[in-house]
Amino acid sequence: MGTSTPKVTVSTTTSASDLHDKIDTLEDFVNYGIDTSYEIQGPGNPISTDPWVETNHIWAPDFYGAPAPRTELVSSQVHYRRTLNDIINEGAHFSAAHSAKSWQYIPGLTASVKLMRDCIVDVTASWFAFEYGGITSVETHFEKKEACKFRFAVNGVGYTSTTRYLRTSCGLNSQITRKQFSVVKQLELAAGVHNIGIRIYLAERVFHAPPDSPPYDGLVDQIKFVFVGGRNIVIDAHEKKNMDDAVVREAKVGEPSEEDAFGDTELVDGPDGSKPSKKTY
Amino acid sequence: MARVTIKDITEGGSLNIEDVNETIESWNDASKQINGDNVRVQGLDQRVFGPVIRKPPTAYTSGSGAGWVPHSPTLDFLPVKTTGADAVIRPGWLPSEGDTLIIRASFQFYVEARGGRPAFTGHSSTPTARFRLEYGDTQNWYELNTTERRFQMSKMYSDNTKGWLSSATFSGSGPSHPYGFNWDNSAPNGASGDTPTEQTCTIIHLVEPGEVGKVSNVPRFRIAYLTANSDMTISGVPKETEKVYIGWLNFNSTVYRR
Repeated sequence: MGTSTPKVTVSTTTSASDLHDKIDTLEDFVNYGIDTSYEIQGPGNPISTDPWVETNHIWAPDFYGAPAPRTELVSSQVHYRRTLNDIINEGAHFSAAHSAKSWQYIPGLTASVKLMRDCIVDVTASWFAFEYGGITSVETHFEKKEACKFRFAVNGVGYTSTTRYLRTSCGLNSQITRKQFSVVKQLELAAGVHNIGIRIYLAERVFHAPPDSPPYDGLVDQIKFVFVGGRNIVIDAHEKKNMDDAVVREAKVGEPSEEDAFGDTELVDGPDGSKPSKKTY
Repeated sequence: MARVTIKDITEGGSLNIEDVNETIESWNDASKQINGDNVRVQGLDQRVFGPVIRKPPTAYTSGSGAGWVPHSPTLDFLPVKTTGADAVIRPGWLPSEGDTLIIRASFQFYVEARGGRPAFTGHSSTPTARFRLEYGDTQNWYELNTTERRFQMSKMYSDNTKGWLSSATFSGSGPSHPYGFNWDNSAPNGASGDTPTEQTCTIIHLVEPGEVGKVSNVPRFRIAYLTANSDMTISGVPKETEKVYIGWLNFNSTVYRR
Protein backbone atom coordinates (compact mmCIF):
# COMPACT_ATOMS: atom_id res chain seq x y z
CA MET A 1 0.00 0.00 0.00
CA GLY A 2 0.98 3.67 -0.25
CA THR A 3 0.62 6.31 2.46
CA SER A 4 -1.84 6.48 5.31
CA THR A 5 -2.70 10.14 5.01
CA PRO A 6 -6.05 10.94 6.67
CA LYS A 7 -8.69 12.29 4.35
CA VAL A 8 -10.43 15.63 4.76
CA THR A 9 -13.85 15.18 6.30
CA VAL A 10 -17.03 17.11 5.56
CA SER A 11 -18.21 19.79 8.01
CA THR A 12 -14.85 19.85 9.68
CA THR A 13 -12.70 22.93 9.70
CA THR A 14 -9.43 22.33 7.88
CA SER A 15 -6.61 24.36 9.30
CA ALA A 16 -3.39 25.35 7.66
CA SER A 17 -1.47 23.07 10.01
CA ASP A 18 -3.70 20.18 9.02
CA LEU A 19 -2.87 20.72 5.35
CA HIS A 20 0.81 21.08 6.22
CA ASP A 21 0.71 17.79 8.10
CA LYS A 22 -0.78 16.05 5.10
CA ILE A 23 1.77 17.59 2.76
CA ASP A 24 4.57 16.60 5.15
CA THR A 25 3.26 13.04 5.18
CA LEU A 26 3.38 12.89 1.41
CA GLU A 27 6.79 14.53 1.32
CA ASP A 28 8.20 12.04 3.78
CA PHE A 29 6.73 9.20 1.76
CA VAL A 30 8.25 10.35 -1.50
CA ASN A 31 11.63 11.37 -0.15
CA TYR A 32 12.49 8.58 2.25
CA GLY A 33 9.37 6.86 3.39
CA ILE A 34 9.23 4.11 0.82
CA ASP A 35 10.63 0.95 2.34
CA THR A 36 10.00 -2.74 2.35
CA SER A 37 6.73 -2.27 4.16
CA TYR A 38 5.25 -0.84 1.02
CA GLU A 39 4.18 -3.04 -1.80
CA ILE A 40 5.73 -0.87 -4.47
CA GLN A 41 9.21 -1.89 -3.40
CA GLY A 42 10.91 -4.44 -1.24
CA PRO A 43 12.28 -7.97 -1.29
CA GLY A 44 8.82 -9.44 -1.21
CA ASN A 45 7.63 -7.24 -4.00
CA PRO A 46 10.47 -6.46 -6.37
CA ILE A 47 9.95 -4.45 -9.47
CA SER A 48 7.80 -6.47 -11.78
CA THR A 49 9.58 -8.82 -14.11
CA ASP A 50 6.63 -8.82 -16.43
CA PRO A 51 7.61 -7.21 -19.72
CA TRP A 52 6.29 -3.73 -19.13
CA VAL A 53 9.01 -1.73 -20.93
CA GLU A 54 7.67 -0.54 -24.25
CA THR A 55 9.60 0.78 -27.20
CA ASN A 56 8.72 4.35 -26.36
CA HIS A 57 10.42 4.05 -22.98
CA ILE A 58 13.84 3.33 -24.47
CA TRP A 59 16.20 5.99 -25.70
CA ALA A 60 15.60 6.13 -29.41
CA PRO A 61 18.27 4.59 -31.66
CA ASP A 62 20.15 6.88 -34.01
CA PHE A 63 20.55 5.88 -37.62
CA TYR A 64 23.30 7.43 -39.71
CA GLY A 65 23.88 7.13 -43.45
CA ALA A 66 26.87 7.98 -45.60
CA PRO A 67 29.75 8.25 -45.25
CA ALA A 68 29.79 6.10 -42.11
CA PRO A 69 26.54 4.13 -42.00
CA ARG A 70 25.79 2.86 -38.53
CA THR A 71 23.13 2.43 -35.91
CA GLU A 72 23.82 3.65 -32.39
CA LEU A 73 21.66 1.84 -29.89
CA VAL A 74 21.18 2.16 -26.18
CA SER A 75 23.96 -0.28 -25.30
CA SER A 76 25.57 -1.25 -28.59
CA GLN A 77 26.58 0.00 -32.01
CA VAL A 78 26.30 -1.63 -35.41
CA HIS A 79 28.50 -0.36 -38.21
CA TYR A 80 28.11 -1.74 -41.71
CA ARG A 81 29.46 -1.29 -45.19
CA ARG A 82 28.13 -2.87 -48.36
CA THR A 83 29.29 -2.55 -51.93
CA LEU A 84 27.44 -3.72 -55.00
CA ASN A 85 28.79 -6.50 -57.10
CA ASP A 86 29.80 -4.10 -59.85
CA ILE A 87 33.43 -4.61 -60.74
CA ILE A 88 33.51 -1.84 -63.33
CA ASN A 89 32.17 0.93 -61.15
CA GLU A 90 32.61 -0.22 -57.59
CA GLY A 91 35.33 -2.85 -57.60
CA ALA A 92 38.37 -2.22 -55.46
CA HIS A 93 41.41 -2.50 -57.70
CA PHE A 94 44.96 -3.19 -56.56
CA SER A 95 48.03 -3.26 -58.78
CA ALA A 96 51.13 -5.27 -58.05
CA ALA A 97 53.13 -2.59 -59.81
CA HIS A 98 52.15 0.01 -57.22
CA SER A 99 51.19 -1.70 -54.02
CA ALA A 100 52.94 -5.04 -53.75
CA LYS A 101 54.26 -6.19 -50.41
CA SER A 102 52.36 -3.75 -48.25
CA TRP A 103 49.21 -4.10 -46.22
CA GLN A 104 46.41 -1.87 -47.42
CA TYR A 105 42.87 -1.50 -46.19
CA ILE A 106 40.20 -2.29 -48.76
CA PRO A 107 37.55 0.39 -49.41
CA GLY A 108 34.15 -0.99 -48.50
CA LEU A 109 35.61 -3.49 -46.06
CA THR A 110 36.85 -0.95 -43.54
CA ALA A 111 35.26 1.31 -40.96
CA SER A 112 36.45 3.78 -38.35
CA VAL A 113 34.49 3.15 -35.19
CA LYS A 114 34.22 5.31 -32.08
CA LEU A 115 33.33 3.28 -29.01
CA MET A 116 32.04 5.16 -26.01
CA ARG A 117 32.81 2.30 -23.64
CA ASP A 118 34.76 -0.96 -23.66
CA CYS A 119 33.07 -3.41 -26.00
CA ILE A 120 32.94 -6.98 -27.16
CA VAL A 121 33.05 -6.68 -30.93
CA ASP A 122 31.77 -9.26 -33.42
CA VAL A 123 32.98 -8.76 -36.97
CA THR A 124 31.59 -10.58 -39.99
CA ALA A 125 32.94 -9.86 -43.46
CA SER A 126 32.36 -11.42 -46.85
CA TRP A 127 33.70 -10.64 -50.31
CA PHE A 128 34.87 -12.13 -53.57
CA ALA A 129 38.07 -11.43 -55.44
CA PHE A 130 40.21 -12.55 -58.35
CA GLU A 131 43.57 -11.87 -59.94
CA TYR A 132 43.67 -10.69 -63.52
CA GLY A 133 46.15 -9.58 -66.14
CA GLY A 134 49.23 -11.52 -65.18
CA ILE A 135 51.06 -13.96 -67.34
CA THR A 136 48.73 -16.02 -69.50
CA SER A 137 50.41 -19.38 -69.24
CA VAL A 138 48.03 -21.95 -67.90
CA GLU A 139 50.76 -24.48 -67.33
CA THR A 140 52.87 -22.23 -65.19
CA HIS A 141 50.33 -20.01 -63.58
CA PHE A 142 46.78 -21.23 -63.33
CA GLU A 143 46.20 -21.05 -59.57
CA LYS A 144 49.82 -21.97 -59.00
CA LYS A 145 51.10 -18.72 -57.58
CA GLU A 146 49.93 -16.79 -54.58
CA ALA A 147 48.50 -13.54 -55.91
CA CYS A 148 47.66 -11.96 -52.59
CA LYS A 149 46.43 -12.60 -49.10
CA PHE A 150 43.77 -10.88 -47.07
CA ARG A 151 43.69 -10.41 -43.33
CA PHE A 152 41.44 -8.80 -40.75
CA ALA A 153 43.13 -5.98 -38.84
CA VAL A 154 42.44 -3.42 -36.13
CA ASN A 155 44.48 -0.23 -36.00
CA GLY A 156 47.04 -1.69 -38.36
CA VAL A 157 47.50 -4.93 -36.45
CA GLY A 158 46.47 -8.08 -38.29
CA TYR A 159 45.18 -11.37 -36.90
CA THR A 160 46.73 -14.37 -38.56
CA SER A 161 43.76 -16.63 -38.01
CA THR A 162 41.85 -14.49 -40.49
CA THR A 163 44.36 -14.91 -43.32
CA ARG A 164 42.79 -15.79 -46.66
CA TYR A 165 44.74 -16.69 -49.80
CA LEU A 166 44.02 -15.93 -53.45
CA ARG A 167 45.81 -17.59 -56.37
CA THR A 168 46.74 -16.38 -59.85
CA SER A 169 44.28 -16.62 -62.69
CA CYS A 170 46.51 -16.79 -65.77
CA GLY A 171 44.64 -14.08 -67.61
CA LEU A 172 41.88 -15.55 -69.69
CA ASN A 173 40.74 -17.85 -66.95
CA SER A 174 40.00 -15.25 -64.29
CA GLN A 175 36.37 -16.30 -64.26
CA ILE A 176 37.21 -19.65 -62.74
CA THR A 177 39.65 -18.39 -60.19
CA ARG A 178 37.18 -16.04 -58.55
CA LYS A 179 36.94 -16.98 -54.94
CA GLN A 180 34.51 -16.32 -52.14
CA PHE A 181 36.02 -15.23 -48.85
CA SER A 182 34.73 -14.69 -45.35
CA VAL A 183 36.06 -13.74 -41.96
CA VAL A 184 34.46 -13.94 -38.54
CA LYS A 185 36.30 -12.47 -35.61
CA GLN A 186 35.40 -11.69 -32.03
CA LEU A 187 37.57 -9.44 -29.90
CA GLU A 188 37.50 -6.96 -27.07
CA LEU A 189 38.21 -3.30 -27.78
CA ALA A 190 38.65 -0.44 -25.35
CA ALA A 191 36.69 2.77 -25.58
CA GLY A 192 38.07 5.05 -28.27
CA VAL A 193 38.48 5.22 -32.02
CA HIS A 194 39.46 2.09 -33.92
CA ASN A 195 40.14 1.42 -37.57
CA ILE A 196 38.64 -1.97 -38.29
CA GLY A 197 38.58 -3.90 -41.52
CA ILE A 198 40.05 -6.27 -44.09
CA ARG A 199 43.44 -5.57 -45.61
CA ILE A 200 45.13 -6.92 -48.72
CA TYR A 201 48.78 -7.84 -49.24
CA LEU A 202 49.82 -8.38 -52.83
CA ALA A 203 52.61 -10.83 -53.44
CA GLU A 204 55.95 -9.58 -54.60
CA ARG A 205 56.03 -8.39 -58.18
CA VAL A 206 57.89 -10.98 -60.23
CA PHE A 207 58.58 -10.96 -63.94
CA HIS A 208 58.42 -14.07 -66.00
CA ALA A 209 59.46 -15.05 -69.47
CA PRO A 210 56.27 -15.55 -71.45
CA PRO A 211 56.04 -19.10 -72.76
CA ASP A 212 53.20 -18.37 -75.14
CA SER A 213 53.58 -18.26 -78.87
CA PRO A 214 54.29 -15.95 -80.60
CA PRO A 215 56.99 -14.78 -78.24
CA TYR A 216 56.65 -11.48 -76.50
CA ASP A 217 59.34 -8.94 -76.15
CA GLY A 218 60.85 -8.99 -72.71
CA LEU A 219 59.32 -10.26 -69.50
CA VAL A 220 55.80 -9.90 -68.22
CA ASP A 221 54.22 -9.74 -64.76
CA GLN A 222 53.33 -12.98 -63.10
CA ILE A 223 50.78 -11.17 -60.98
CA LYS A 224 49.22 -7.98 -62.18
CA PHE A 225 45.90 -6.85 -60.70
CA VAL A 226 43.59 -8.01 -57.95
CA PHE A 227 39.94 -6.99 -58.06
CA VAL A 228 37.70 -7.14 -55.02
CA GLY A 229 34.06 -7.24 -56.04
CA GLY A 230 30.84 -7.42 -54.04
CA ARG A 231 31.66 -7.07 -50.36
CA ASN A 232 30.10 -6.57 -46.96
CA ILE A 233 31.30 -6.01 -43.44
CA VAL A 234 29.24 -5.78 -40.25
CA ILE A 235 30.83 -4.62 -37.00
CA ASP A 236 28.63 -5.33 -34.01
CA ALA A 237 29.93 -3.70 -30.82
CA HIS A 238 28.29 -4.59 -27.51
CA GLU A 239 29.13 -2.60 -24.43
CA LYS A 240 31.03 -4.69 -21.94
CA LYS A 241 29.75 -2.85 -18.85
CA ASN A 242 28.36 -5.24 -16.25
CA MET A 243 28.43 -8.08 -18.74
CA ASP A 244 26.69 -11.12 -17.44
CA ASP A 245 29.26 -13.79 -16.68
CA ALA A 246 26.83 -16.64 -16.25
CA VAL A 247 29.05 -18.75 -18.41
CA VAL A 248 30.09 -22.33 -18.29
CA ARG A 249 33.77 -22.03 -19.05
CA GLU A 250 35.56 -24.43 -21.33
CA ALA A 251 39.06 -24.79 -20.01
CA LYS A 252 42.01 -24.98 -22.35
CA VAL A 253 40.05 -24.79 -25.54
CA GLY A 254 41.96 -22.85 -28.13
CA GLU A 255 44.86 -22.53 -25.77
CA PRO A 256 43.50 -19.54 -23.86
CA SER A 257 45.93 -16.91 -22.77
CA GLU A 258 46.37 -16.01 -19.14
CA GLU A 259 46.58 -12.36 -19.96
CA ASP A 260 43.48 -12.19 -22.08
CA ALA A 261 40.10 -13.30 -20.85
CA PHE A 262 39.09 -14.14 -24.38
CA GLY A 263 42.00 -16.40 -25.04
CA ASP A 264 43.10 -14.89 -28.31
CA THR A 265 46.64 -16.15 -28.46
CA GLU A 266 47.17 -15.40 -32.08
CA LEU A 267 50.39 -13.92 -33.24
CA VAL A 268 49.70 -10.76 -35.10
CA ASP A 269 51.60 -8.97 -37.76
CA GLY A 270 53.00 -5.53 -37.43
CA PRO A 271 51.91 -2.81 -39.82
CA ASP A 272 54.40 -3.96 -42.41
CA GLY A 273 53.12 -7.50 -42.29
CA SER A 274 56.53 -8.85 -41.51
CA LYS A 275 57.74 -10.00 -38.12
CA PRO A 276 54.97 -11.33 -35.89
CA SER A 277 54.55 -9.85 -32.47
CA LYS A 278 52.18 -10.31 -29.56
CA LYS A 279 48.92 -8.46 -29.64
CA THR A 280 49.03 -5.22 -27.77
CA TYR A 281 45.47 -4.95 -26.49
CA MET B 1 -2.12 1.70 -10.09
CA ALA B 2 1.48 2.73 -9.50
CA ARG B 3 1.04 6.22 -10.81
CA VAL B 4 -0.14 8.95 -8.38
CA THR B 5 -2.58 11.46 -9.83
CA ILE B 6 -3.16 14.89 -8.36
CA LYS B 7 -6.51 16.45 -8.92
CA ASP B 8 -6.31 19.73 -10.71
CA ILE B 9 -7.03 22.43 -8.13
CA THR B 10 -6.95 25.91 -9.64
CA GLU B 11 -6.45 29.24 -7.99
CA GLY B 12 -9.67 31.27 -7.69
CA GLY B 13 -11.90 28.24 -7.95
CA SER B 14 -13.84 26.66 -5.15
CA LEU B 15 -12.02 23.88 -3.33
CA ASN B 16 -14.07 20.76 -3.62
CA ILE B 17 -13.49 18.33 -0.82
CA GLU B 18 -13.77 15.37 -3.19
CA ASP B 19 -10.87 16.74 -5.23
CA VAL B 20 -8.67 16.91 -2.16
CA ASN B 21 -9.63 13.45 -1.05
CA GLU B 22 -9.10 11.96 -4.51
CA THR B 23 -5.55 13.21 -4.39
CA ILE B 24 -5.00 11.81 -0.91
CA GLU B 25 -6.63 8.56 -1.92
CA SER B 26 -4.36 8.29 -4.90
CA TRP B 27 -1.35 8.43 -2.59
CA ASN B 28 -2.87 6.03 -0.13
CA ASP B 29 -3.67 3.52 -2.86
CA ALA B 30 -0.27 3.64 -4.53
CA SER B 31 0.18 -0.05 -3.97
CA LYS B 32 1.02 -1.53 -7.33
CA GLN B 33 4.47 -2.41 -8.52
CA ILE B 34 6.30 0.11 -10.66
CA ASN B 35 5.46 -0.31 -14.32
CA GLY B 36 5.62 1.54 -17.59
CA ASP B 37 3.35 4.28 -16.29
CA ASN B 38 6.19 5.42 -14.04
CA VAL B 39 8.78 5.81 -16.81
CA ARG B 40 8.80 8.81 -19.07
CA VAL B 41 9.17 8.48 -22.81
CA GLN B 42 12.79 7.55 -23.72
CA GLY B 43 13.56 7.57 -20.00
CA LEU B 44 15.55 4.33 -20.20
CA ASP B 45 19.00 5.10 -21.55
CA GLN B 46 22.53 3.80 -21.32
CA ARG B 47 22.69 4.44 -17.60
CA VAL B 48 20.05 1.88 -16.81
CA PHE B 49 20.72 -0.73 -19.46
CA GLY B 50 23.29 -3.40 -18.94
CA PRO B 51 24.89 -5.27 -21.81
CA VAL B 52 22.73 -7.32 -24.08
CA ILE B 53 25.16 -10.23 -24.35
CA ARG B 54 26.66 -12.75 -22.00
CA LYS B 55 30.40 -13.00 -21.67
CA PRO B 56 31.65 -15.08 -24.58
CA PRO B 57 33.67 -18.23 -24.01
CA THR B 58 37.16 -18.47 -25.34
CA ALA B 59 37.09 -18.39 -29.11
CA TYR B 60 38.87 -21.20 -30.94
CA THR B 61 41.42 -19.77 -33.36
CA SER B 62 44.44 -20.95 -35.30
CA GLY B 63 46.79 -18.92 -37.43
CA SER B 64 50.21 -19.15 -38.96
CA GLY B 65 51.60 -20.89 -35.89
CA ALA B 66 49.53 -23.94 -36.68
CA GLY B 67 49.64 -23.52 -40.46
CA TRP B 68 47.82 -25.99 -42.67
CA VAL B 69 46.88 -28.98 -40.58
CA PRO B 70 46.23 -32.23 -42.48
CA HIS B 71 43.07 -34.15 -41.71
CA SER B 72 42.91 -37.75 -42.85
CA PRO B 73 40.14 -39.14 -45.05
CA THR B 74 37.05 -40.31 -43.24
CA LEU B 75 33.56 -41.44 -44.13
CA ASP B 76 32.27 -40.35 -40.74
CA PHE B 77 32.36 -36.82 -39.49
CA LEU B 78 35.32 -36.25 -37.19
CA PRO B 79 36.38 -33.16 -35.25
CA VAL B 80 38.45 -30.47 -36.88
CA LYS B 81 41.66 -30.01 -34.94
CA THR B 82 43.99 -27.23 -35.97
CA THR B 83 45.62 -26.72 -32.59
CA GLY B 84 46.33 -29.15 -29.79
CA ALA B 85 42.62 -29.42 -29.06
CA ASP B 86 39.48 -30.11 -31.04
CA ALA B 87 37.66 -27.08 -32.40
CA VAL B 88 35.18 -26.89 -29.52
CA ILE B 89 33.50 -23.97 -27.79
CA ARG B 90 30.97 -23.90 -24.98
CA PRO B 91 28.91 -20.70 -24.89
CA GLY B 92 27.20 -19.60 -21.69
CA TRP B 93 23.85 -20.16 -23.24
CA LEU B 94 20.76 -20.26 -20.98
CA PRO B 95 17.78 -20.82 -23.28
CA SER B 96 15.50 -21.11 -20.25
CA GLU B 97 16.13 -17.41 -19.69
CA GLY B 98 15.32 -16.54 -23.27
CA ASP B 99 18.91 -16.33 -24.52
CA THR B 100 19.59 -16.40 -28.24
CA LEU B 101 22.78 -18.07 -29.46
CA ILE B 102 24.67 -17.45 -32.69
CA ILE B 103 27.61 -19.67 -33.68
CA ARG B 104 30.11 -18.50 -36.30
CA ALA B 105 32.91 -20.35 -38.07
CA SER B 106 35.17 -19.33 -40.93
CA PHE B 107 38.34 -21.01 -42.19
CA GLN B 108 40.25 -21.99 -45.31
CA PHE B 109 41.08 -25.44 -46.59
CA TYR B 110 42.28 -27.32 -49.62
CA VAL B 111 42.14 -30.94 -50.69
CA GLU B 112 45.01 -33.12 -51.72
CA ALA B 113 43.81 -35.92 -53.94
CA ARG B 114 43.88 -37.62 -57.29
CA GLY B 115 40.16 -38.03 -57.49
CA GLY B 116 38.53 -38.10 -60.89
CA ARG B 117 41.53 -39.51 -62.63
CA PRO B 118 40.55 -42.94 -63.94
CA ALA B 119 44.02 -43.70 -65.19
CA PHE B 120 45.22 -43.81 -61.61
CA THR B 121 42.28 -44.70 -59.45
CA GLY B 122 40.10 -46.86 -61.64
CA HIS B 123 37.00 -44.82 -60.90
CA SER B 124 35.65 -41.49 -61.96
CA SER B 125 34.54 -40.20 -58.62
CA THR B 126 35.77 -36.79 -57.61
CA PRO B 127 36.94 -35.78 -54.16
CA THR B 128 34.64 -34.05 -51.75
CA ALA B 129 35.15 -32.21 -48.48
CA ARG B 130 32.27 -31.53 -46.12
CA PHE B 131 31.99 -29.55 -42.93
CA ARG B 132 29.26 -29.07 -40.37
CA LEU B 133 28.53 -27.90 -36.85
CA GLU B 134 27.82 -30.48 -34.19
CA TYR B 135 26.65 -30.23 -30.61
CA GLY B 136 27.18 -32.64 -27.78
CA ASP B 137 28.72 -33.37 -24.43
CA THR B 138 32.13 -34.84 -23.87
CA GLN B 139 31.06 -38.25 -25.16
CA ASN B 140 28.47 -37.93 -27.91
CA TRP B 141 28.11 -35.53 -30.80
CA TYR B 142 25.12 -34.79 -32.99
CA GLU B 143 24.63 -32.90 -36.24
CA LEU B 144 23.13 -29.46 -36.22
CA ASN B 145 20.77 -29.57 -39.14
CA THR B 146 21.27 -27.15 -42.04
CA THR B 147 24.88 -26.42 -41.11
CA GLU B 148 26.59 -28.85 -43.48
CA ARG B 149 28.69 -27.26 -46.22
CA ARG B 150 29.80 -29.43 -49.15
CA PHE B 151 32.65 -28.80 -51.55
CA GLN B 152 33.52 -30.94 -54.51
CA MET B 153 36.18 -30.53 -57.11
CA SER B 154 35.31 -31.06 -60.73
CA LYS B 155 37.35 -33.06 -63.19
CA MET B 156 38.68 -29.77 -64.40
CA TYR B 157 40.63 -29.59 -61.19
CA SER B 158 41.72 -33.17 -60.97
CA ASP B 159 41.83 -34.74 -64.42
CA ASN B 160 45.13 -33.77 -65.93
CA THR B 161 44.57 -35.66 -69.14
CA LYS B 162 41.00 -34.69 -70.00
CA GLY B 163 40.59 -31.43 -68.16
CA TRP B 164 39.06 -28.80 -70.35
CA LEU B 165 42.12 -26.63 -69.98
CA SER B 166 44.54 -29.30 -71.01
CA SER B 167 43.92 -29.63 -74.72
CA ALA B 168 44.85 -26.04 -75.37
CA THR B 169 47.90 -25.96 -73.23
CA PHE B 170 49.92 -29.04 -73.81
CA SER B 171 50.28 -31.84 -76.30
CA GLY B 172 51.15 -35.46 -75.98
CA SER B 173 49.53 -38.23 -74.05
CA GLY B 174 51.21 -38.00 -70.71
CA PRO B 175 49.98 -36.07 -67.73
CA SER B 176 51.31 -32.60 -67.55
CA HIS B 177 50.15 -30.32 -64.78
CA PRO B 178 47.49 -30.82 -62.18
CA TYR B 179 45.11 -27.96 -62.04
CA GLY B 180 43.94 -26.89 -58.66
CA PHE B 181 43.12 -28.81 -55.51
CA ASN B 182 46.64 -29.93 -54.92
CA TRP B 183 46.88 -33.68 -55.35
CA ASP B 184 50.45 -34.68 -54.71
CA ASN B 185 53.99 -33.63 -55.29
CA SER B 186 55.38 -36.65 -57.09
CA ALA B 187 53.02 -37.31 -59.93
CA PRO B 188 54.21 -39.04 -63.08
CA ASN B 189 55.97 -37.09 -65.79
CA GLY B 190 57.06 -34.35 -63.47
CA ALA B 191 53.75 -32.83 -62.57
CA SER B 192 54.50 -30.53 -59.69
CA GLY B 193 51.14 -30.30 -57.99
CA ASP B 194 51.78 -27.10 -56.11
CA THR B 195 48.32 -25.67 -56.57
CA PRO B 196 46.48 -25.64 -53.27
CA THR B 197 43.64 -23.35 -54.48
CA GLU B 198 42.38 -22.67 -51.01
CA GLN B 199 38.66 -22.44 -50.48
CA THR B 200 36.86 -20.59 -47.70
CA CYS B 201 34.14 -22.27 -45.66
CA THR B 202 31.66 -20.22 -43.66
CA ILE B 203 29.03 -21.46 -41.22
CA ILE B 204 26.87 -19.02 -39.28
CA HIS B 205 23.99 -20.53 -37.37
CA LEU B 206 21.34 -19.31 -34.93
CA VAL B 207 20.77 -22.21 -32.57
CA GLU B 208 17.25 -23.02 -31.48
CA PRO B 209 16.82 -24.80 -28.13
CA GLY B 210 14.85 -27.54 -29.86
CA GLU B 211 17.85 -28.42 -32.02
CA VAL B 212 20.01 -29.56 -29.14
CA GLY B 213 17.56 -31.73 -27.28
CA LYS B 214 19.83 -34.77 -27.11
CA VAL B 215 22.07 -33.11 -24.54
CA SER B 216 20.72 -32.31 -21.10
CA ASN B 217 23.38 -29.86 -19.96
CA VAL B 218 24.65 -26.72 -21.65
CA PRO B 219 25.95 -28.18 -24.92
CA ARG B 220 29.35 -27.90 -26.45
CA PHE B 221 29.71 -27.11 -30.14
CA ARG B 222 32.37 -28.26 -32.56
CA ILE B 223 33.33 -28.14 -36.23
CA ALA B 224 33.44 -31.56 -37.89
CA TYR B 225 34.68 -32.63 -41.30
CA LEU B 226 34.37 -35.49 -43.76
CA THR B 227 36.53 -36.03 -46.81
CA ALA B 228 36.45 -38.89 -49.29
CA ASN B 229 35.57 -39.60 -52.87
CA SER B 230 32.14 -38.29 -53.73
CA ASP B 231 30.89 -41.86 -54.11
CA MET B 232 31.79 -42.32 -50.45
CA THR B 233 34.82 -44.49 -51.01
CA ILE B 234 38.36 -44.14 -49.83
CA SER B 235 41.12 -45.55 -51.94
CA GLY B 236 43.74 -47.67 -50.31
CA VAL B 237 46.36 -46.59 -52.82
CA PRO B 238 48.81 -44.07 -51.38
CA LYS B 239 48.15 -40.54 -52.48
CA GLU B 240 44.90 -41.51 -54.13
CA THR B 241 43.14 -40.99 -50.86
CA GLU B 242 41.84 -37.54 -50.25
CA LYS B 243 43.26 -35.50 -47.44
CA VAL B 244 41.98 -32.10 -46.43
CA TYR B 245 44.27 -29.39 -45.10
CA ILE B 246 42.54 -26.93 -42.77
CA GLY B 247 43.87 -23.72 -41.30
CA TRP B 248 43.35 -20.07 -40.49
CA LEU B 249 40.30 -20.79 -38.45
CA ASN B 250 37.99 -18.68 -36.30
CA PHE B 251 35.20 -20.24 -34.27
CA ASN B 252 33.23 -18.05 -31.89
CA SER B 253 29.78 -17.39 -30.50
CA THR B 254 27.58 -14.67 -29.09
CA VAL B 255 24.77 -15.14 -26.59
CA TYR B 256 22.18 -12.37 -26.74
CA ARG B 257 20.10 -11.94 -23.59
CA ARG B 258 16.38 -11.46 -23.76
